Amino acid sequence: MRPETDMSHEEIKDLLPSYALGALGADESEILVRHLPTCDSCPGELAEYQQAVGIFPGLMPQATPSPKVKERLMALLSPPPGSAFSWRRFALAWTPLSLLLLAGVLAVSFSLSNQLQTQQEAMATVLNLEGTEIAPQAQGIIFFVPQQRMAMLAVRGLPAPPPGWEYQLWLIRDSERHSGGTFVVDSQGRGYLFVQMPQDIASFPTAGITMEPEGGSLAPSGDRYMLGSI
Amino acid sequence: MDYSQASDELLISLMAQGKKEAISVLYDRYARLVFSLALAILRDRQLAEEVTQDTFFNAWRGAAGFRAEQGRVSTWLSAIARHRAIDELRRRRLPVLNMEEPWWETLASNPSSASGEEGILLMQMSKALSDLPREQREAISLAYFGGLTQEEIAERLGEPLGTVKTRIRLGLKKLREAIQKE
Ligand SMILES: [Zn+2]
Repeated sequence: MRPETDMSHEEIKDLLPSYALGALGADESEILVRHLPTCDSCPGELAEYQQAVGIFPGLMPQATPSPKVKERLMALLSPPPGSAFSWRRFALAWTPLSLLLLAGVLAVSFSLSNQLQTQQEAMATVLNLEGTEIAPQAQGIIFFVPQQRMAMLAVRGLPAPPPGWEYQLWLIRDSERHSGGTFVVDSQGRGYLFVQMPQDIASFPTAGITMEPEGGSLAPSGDRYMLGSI
Repeated sequence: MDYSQASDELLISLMAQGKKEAISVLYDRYARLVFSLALAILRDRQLAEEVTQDTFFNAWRGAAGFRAEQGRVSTWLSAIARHRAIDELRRRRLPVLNMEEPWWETLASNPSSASGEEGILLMQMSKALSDLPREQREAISLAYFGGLTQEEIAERLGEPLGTVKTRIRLGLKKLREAIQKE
């Protein structure tokens, strides 16, 4: 049943304070909501009541939530594994050469630190990525340090994604696709990414790069720009 | 880009583009406000933290729908938080705030927390609420913190509906006038 609107303007105006406070029942709310677009004065008056009510929260005793709340919130927005954002910024500050040198130093120091590993197991593994037909100029390399469950990706020659899009690295095993994190590229199409590996690299022999909405996807959904295998 | 100097409205539009740094900055700016409101309604830290997380997550998802001409970002966040907290209050059948707690006087005991234009508004509102007749303040508090309608307030207080409507209307008119004076 639609509420009757035989109320006078004065009566409708009297609904404004309660409406601003959220205390109006459904019928009266509907009368007011239908009146507002037809009236010159009520919307402005309502805004003033809402402004007054909007000050209430600032009057509460101020308390601080646990830092965990923000951590959980940010985790909800991010794809689960891989690239902590600070790592990405850190990586972008490096030139490709020094980055690759760093990767080599890391790999060597890790292998030296683990005397019990055989030489072959301790060596960092390298995976070369090739551009697909939509990005034939693209080149890339991934250094894996299996014992440390970490890897570093460096690419060049990738086209800049449109606003709101990023590249995402996928570690591929059979039909499984594991996100290695997202990254951006600079004006020369260069991008870098530090990856925390979920498991030993031996079980992910293939890697691919797709373009995904910013923040990344749970599974590849965009075009594939690069692909490679060990 | 450093987002810490960005206006609230700019942060919201960056959030609508999926920029996570923007919501991080917005969170740092308003988490206390949102949490304090949820805590005042629910009086349970854990529930209030859930509401805080949900509020910012909803803001993230709803950022594209925010219209600056409809009000300030802080008011928008508070409205989301209040609705969410009152949902929780009703779902768990928690008791509505004891209206004898002078929530409007907190500022008087901690004036340093208010500064600038914002602080003046807070002081004016605190004083205006203190000056209200107790019955008007009680009806307003029950509506705001308890999410009760005028009918529910009348029932709870055992007063005629018309009386409750009048209390809310007169009370809110005075609050509105108090901040329009300048
Ligand atoms: Zn009107």
